[in-house]
Amino acid sequence: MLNNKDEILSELTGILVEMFEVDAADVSVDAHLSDDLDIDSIDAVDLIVRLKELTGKKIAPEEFKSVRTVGHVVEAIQKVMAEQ
Amino acid sequence: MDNRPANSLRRDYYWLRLLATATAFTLFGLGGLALRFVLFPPLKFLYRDVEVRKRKARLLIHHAFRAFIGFMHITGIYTYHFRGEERLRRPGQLVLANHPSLIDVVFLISRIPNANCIVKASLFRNPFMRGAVTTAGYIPNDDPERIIELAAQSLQRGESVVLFPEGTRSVPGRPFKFQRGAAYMALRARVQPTLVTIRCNPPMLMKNIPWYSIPLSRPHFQFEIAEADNLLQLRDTGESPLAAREITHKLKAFFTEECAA
Repeated sequence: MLNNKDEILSELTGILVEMFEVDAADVSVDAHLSDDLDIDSIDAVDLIVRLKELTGKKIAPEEFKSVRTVGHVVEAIQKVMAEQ
Repeated sequence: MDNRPANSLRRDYYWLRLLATATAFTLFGLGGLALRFVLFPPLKFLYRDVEVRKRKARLLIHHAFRAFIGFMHITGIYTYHFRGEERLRRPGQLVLANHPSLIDVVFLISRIPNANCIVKASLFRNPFMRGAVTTAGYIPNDDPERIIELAAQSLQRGESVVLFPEGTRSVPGRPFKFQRGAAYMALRARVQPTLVTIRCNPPMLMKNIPWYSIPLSRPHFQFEIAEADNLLQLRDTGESPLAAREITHKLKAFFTEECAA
């Protein structure tokens, strides 16, 4: 179910709406997490935990250090899914 | 048409206030050094237990700040008034305040005997402040998750924690921008915050204003202390991003309304 970017994006959008009550319409690959979606570093910690459940893979917080946009999160998920 | 020279707009002993302000800044720096090199070193020998030592250091800072606030008052830098100040003396309070001026924290700690606070991480490298912030065990503001955890532990030990949810001094005329750390602390430690509305009129020692640009007339500081019991329902709320958002939203609404009044 997490095979391509679009599927990952739609899954991620659902999570962001559910966890942080962001407006689904605001979520795009270019959306900036803190500026556009008001997701701060504490939220990011919670998001990492949730993504672990989703992917069943461990995501190192360091991987998330450089994450700024929704697109970056999608890439990070894609990367861990590719690691077998 | 008012054709008096601009000088006469400077009221309430302007030049004396300016001189007193310069003296106060010097005293603050010297006081920091005195704490670090004279008053704190004996604490290491007197109190072996780190927690006891921290408490004694905080009490010393509390008294030093009380004297400093008194100094700035009698030299005519400002007038001030606390409403409900006795509430600040109770242990284990999460004290949240808006942040109009540089000396807000000095005022608050001068009224709280065992105050922990979240301070700029750079103060741990500042030669004047380093002694005080390390001996008192204050919390550096570098890692958000760690700040929340340390503050929650501090509250559970019965210490009071002073925090400005804006993270930095307010910019006058701009809407408040609150960070969610305060809400997470309240949720994790399960404490009802004590809210302090600070009003300073005319404003002094604001963000981006140098210390020597003092107001033309003498400022008055007003501190109003309120309970958040009716504002926030924390009792059955678990820690979650949504709960933190809701609380932060209510805090912002509270301070916005109080400061507009």
